[in-house]
Amino acid sequence: MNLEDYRTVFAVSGLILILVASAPTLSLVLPLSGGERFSELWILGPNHMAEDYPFNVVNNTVYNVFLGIGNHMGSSAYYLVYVKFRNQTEHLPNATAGTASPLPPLYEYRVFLEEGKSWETPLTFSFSGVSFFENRSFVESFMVNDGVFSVDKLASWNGENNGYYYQVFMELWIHNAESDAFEFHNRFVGLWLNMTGV
Amino acid sequence: MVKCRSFICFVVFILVFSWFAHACFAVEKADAEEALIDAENNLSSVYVAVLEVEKSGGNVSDLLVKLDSGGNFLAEAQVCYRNGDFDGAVYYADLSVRNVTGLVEEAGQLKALAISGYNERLFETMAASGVAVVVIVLGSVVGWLIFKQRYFEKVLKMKPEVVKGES
Repeated sequence: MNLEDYRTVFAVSGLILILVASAPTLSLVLPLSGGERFSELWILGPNHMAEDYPFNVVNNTVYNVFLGIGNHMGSSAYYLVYVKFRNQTEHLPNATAGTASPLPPLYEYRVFLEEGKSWETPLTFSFSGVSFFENRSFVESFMVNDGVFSVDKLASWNGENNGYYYQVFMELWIHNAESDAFEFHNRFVGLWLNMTGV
Repeated sequence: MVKCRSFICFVVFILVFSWFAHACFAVEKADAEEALIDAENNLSSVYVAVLEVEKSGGNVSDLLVKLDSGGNFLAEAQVCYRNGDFDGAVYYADLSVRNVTGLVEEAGQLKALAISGYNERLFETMAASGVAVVVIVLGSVVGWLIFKQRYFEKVLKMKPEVVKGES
């Protein structure tokens, strides 16, 4: 190696050391882009596991599940969860178009969550005024936690799956601070329920 | 007879009063809607203030706990409203507002604290980095000069070698 090569080695080493020394300041001034931003929404069964979900349901019996949200949006988030109830012919949210179900919400949760934190709550539901006639079932009221909601839902007999099917589902909405409004967050979870008796 | 009449009058009065009292004191749907909008706007404005604190590097855990209880009350108010319980809706909407009252000011103070803390940290870090850069530059220059001097001394001490076969 001649003197020019040694000079280059000295200059490069000096520059690397300068970059290392100024890294703490740069990290304070330049914002680092985080990873992928997303939110989680889940339902767990009565034993806090992803099993034993209610399926065959009857009149006046209380069913328990757990509902949870996880925030990985890079900052604190304000979530709104709508609980909705439908029969097989009514619309679910459209994940492709990113639109919520047009059904009116029955129950709701409002959750403020810090980045990286999760939230979970028990959710109980039951039905009353269930009746069956001419290959149809009818649900008059749907109860969620302490709320009683008149739903008057009919479900026709599903010959393929042998049952009268309803679905309770939860939509996740998120507050957009710029528009100062809630937007459908394109996440929803649901439970299929087969009404089996009065 | 007089006692009987006065008793009937009393009963009629109670019935009439209860009929009109309901009309006088019942909360209208519009009142409930207004209370819900107020509570919603209140929560949104506090949330925006909390986000500002968070961006400034402040700790927002306590603020979020208070906001969350306000959010629970507003959710309860919305459920009451959907069930046609407008009194309940107004009651819970008011509770929501009361729960977050003063949080915007608290967020403002936290933001100011966070900004001054950030500025202090930034100054200290910049000073430490500046000193380190100066030390590195001076060290490199001095090191280079010493190295160059030793290099030349080493080169000057070297004797020319005669290799066989070369002219």
